[in-house]
Amino acid sequence: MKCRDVSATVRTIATLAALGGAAVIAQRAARAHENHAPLPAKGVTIAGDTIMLSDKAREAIGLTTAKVGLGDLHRTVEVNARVELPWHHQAMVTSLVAGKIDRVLVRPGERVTRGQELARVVSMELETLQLTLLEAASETSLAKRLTEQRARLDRQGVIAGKTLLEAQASLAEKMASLEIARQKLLALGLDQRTIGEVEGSGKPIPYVSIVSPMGGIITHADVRTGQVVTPTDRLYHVVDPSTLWIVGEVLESDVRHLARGQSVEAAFAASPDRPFRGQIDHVRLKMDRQRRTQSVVVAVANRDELLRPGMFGRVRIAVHVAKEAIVCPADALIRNRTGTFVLVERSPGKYESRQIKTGLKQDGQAEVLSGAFPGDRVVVVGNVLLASLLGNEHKARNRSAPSPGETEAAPRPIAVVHATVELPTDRQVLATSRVEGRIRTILVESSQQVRAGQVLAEVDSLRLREVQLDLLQTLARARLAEQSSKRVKGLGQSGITAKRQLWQIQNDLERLRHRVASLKRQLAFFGLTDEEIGSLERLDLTSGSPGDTLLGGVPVRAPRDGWVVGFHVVPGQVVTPQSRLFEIHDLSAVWVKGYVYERDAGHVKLGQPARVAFAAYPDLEATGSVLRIAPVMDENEQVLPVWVEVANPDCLLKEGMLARVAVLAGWTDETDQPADVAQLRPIETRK
Amino acid sequence: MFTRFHLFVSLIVVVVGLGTLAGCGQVEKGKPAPGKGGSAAEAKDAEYNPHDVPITEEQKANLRKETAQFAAAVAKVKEFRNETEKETENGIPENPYKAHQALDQADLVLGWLPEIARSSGVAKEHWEEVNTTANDLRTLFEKVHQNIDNKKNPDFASVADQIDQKIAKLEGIAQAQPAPAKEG
Repeated sequence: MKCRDVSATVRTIATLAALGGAAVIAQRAARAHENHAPLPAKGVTIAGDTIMLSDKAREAIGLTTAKVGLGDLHRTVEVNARVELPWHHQAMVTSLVAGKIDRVLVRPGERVTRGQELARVVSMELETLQLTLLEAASETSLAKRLTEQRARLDRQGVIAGKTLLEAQASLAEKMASLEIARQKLLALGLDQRTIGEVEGSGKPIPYVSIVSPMGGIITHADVRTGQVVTPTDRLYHVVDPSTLWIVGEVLESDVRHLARGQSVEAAFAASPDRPFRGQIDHVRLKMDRQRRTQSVVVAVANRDELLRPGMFGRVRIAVHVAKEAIVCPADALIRNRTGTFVLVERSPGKYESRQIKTGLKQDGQAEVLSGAFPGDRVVVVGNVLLASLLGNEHKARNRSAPSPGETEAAPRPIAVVHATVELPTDRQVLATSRVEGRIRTILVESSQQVRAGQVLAEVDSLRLREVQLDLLQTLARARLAEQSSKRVKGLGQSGITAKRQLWQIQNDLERLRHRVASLKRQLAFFGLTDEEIGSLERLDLTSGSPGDTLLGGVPVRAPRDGWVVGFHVVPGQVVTPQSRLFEIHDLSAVWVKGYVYERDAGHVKLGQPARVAFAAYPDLEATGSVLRIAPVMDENEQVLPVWVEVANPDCLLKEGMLARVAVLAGWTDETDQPADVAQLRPIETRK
Repeated sequence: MFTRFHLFVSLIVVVVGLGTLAGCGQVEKGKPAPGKGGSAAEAKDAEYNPHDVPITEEQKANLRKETAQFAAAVAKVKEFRNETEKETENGIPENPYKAHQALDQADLVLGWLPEIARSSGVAKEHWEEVNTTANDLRTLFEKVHQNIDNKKNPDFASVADQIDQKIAKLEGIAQAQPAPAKEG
């Protein structure tokens, strides 16, 4: 029994010894990395943030250093892209008059020039207006002859002066009517030469020509001979593909690197050997919330027409170029919980850990923003092993000079929540047309800053022309009536004319004045300013053609200051008062909506300090306070929405961007306090 | 049958094995570097030197303000150089407080010098020279500081020429810079 016990004991001891030995061998193997022997037990001294190595220790780990120097770095962002047609390189064509297509002169795919005839429309309205013109011309001619005759008789003393004045008044009225008839024909698309020919020959023309407003290619033609058309029907779409837009979708994390003028190179499957080069024209101000991207627009020449709208490809953007930046090998960087640092050689065998801030990285080189300078030698091989000796919580020396007042401790956050940037509804407005018509001209670009009242576009409207002409005619009649009133009043005082006649004229004058006021209000509703209406009032139809002074388009004005975040109209497009023409956002300040978990909801109060960080701008933060707290929880996510307002003068923040809100402690007052608008600033200035 | 004796032996073997594991790869935690504070634990163990009073934060802040411009920083280094020479001209100083202060402040300013050069507009082509010269000066001053700490003859004269050459280099770079714009 005793022998068995002893042998069992020996076996147990042997097993345990074998296990212990295996453990020792295993840990030795684990410590030997970077293909070097593990650090010798002697020859390494650590003093704070400085490591001193003997020659043997350096040799054992194969320690290698490299020099920090100056160099050029750039970063390229590659994104998906599509080809679009710029709005100013396309136009829609409609008929200005209702009628029937008499002849179609072009087909889809054909190339046309500016002013080229595309189709012909016959119209009863055209016939009626030309008849009115001819009648007015005939009456004006007769009135002229009568006036000349009565002038001669008046000089001879044969007739009373009153008769001449009446003849002159009648002539003025006829001339006004003639001018109005001419203006109405101009509004239908006839030119002055054609109208003159009609007046001269007395023969109306049978059709109105539909012409192309620009040179390009017909891509759409919804026109057939005999088709009845109205001014709201889109008949042709003309495009000029000589310049196209390539629209790239850049991720939110890369948005901060974008700027106008950056070089871009695009490639498409249709022409893989032909890169297209251009520069960023503008960046659209709206984020795509689903894909978390922002569109960047590049204008490229397309004279050989290899590109076509609708194509998809890839775009490379050289987003940042650091010229003569301080660069060090990326292998020298060591990251731990306290930040990034490098080991700088003070002298052979002596290495000092130094906190470092990096920027761009390219091809194994890193841009050094602070912490190292040209001439420093940093450890690139063996640094990881040496860093492990310092420990994971080691905080490297910060070589930056201290700034005064850096003694206050940062407030502790009581809740850190996900958030998104949103724009309050009162900062989003739509600019629409007040009348139905077609876009005559667009005066702004996407992403352009505009002022309240600024004209964004003009809508061609026959109704506007009619009201203006009506006003001019009514004003002319009112002037004549006023002259008659004065004349008859004088005669009435002398007992020559009856009072009834004077009353009749005064009544007509009053009616005309009411009509003028009503027409002016209509013009104001269309969007004309007081100044524009005043200049119309000063026009005299009898003294020449007012064509150049009449406003051809209803102005579409910006309702408030802001930025044009997008529009989807093109010249010639028919629009109605319901059409959303321009979307304008006032991005001078945005709201950041955070979602506080229910467990933290009780700690959040109005006016409580908050700090906001943005995914798109990791170097910036905003410090403000809680502006608003939702009265109800979000049922689906069980979170409480809270808002912080952030000033955005440089328009960096866009609706839909991701953010993180830290609601801070340090709140001592029970009562609500007015909230501050948070200001964006670089993170390193935070105290 | 597993007795208490077996258990005792097993425990001894396990303890020895763990001790072997823990004992491998130890590094020496040596004395703190000369002239430096070192970790708090090491400072406790180091010999207490009543003359080596650390620079206060207020002193650092004032020094930073005085050396905001590169030329002023170089002038300050020269001042500390002269102060050190004066305090050590008679060999081992009886009260080396002033020498310690001058050397500590010189070390601070020389550590900041590359960043001061960048922020005060020194041309990039000079940055490397400023950095390496500042590091060399730190090393030279450290020799003197180490001698004082070890109660040896500071022997400033042995490094004076080299220090002067390096400072002259920095002064040359400072003179090549345009004068900063006056306020008001």
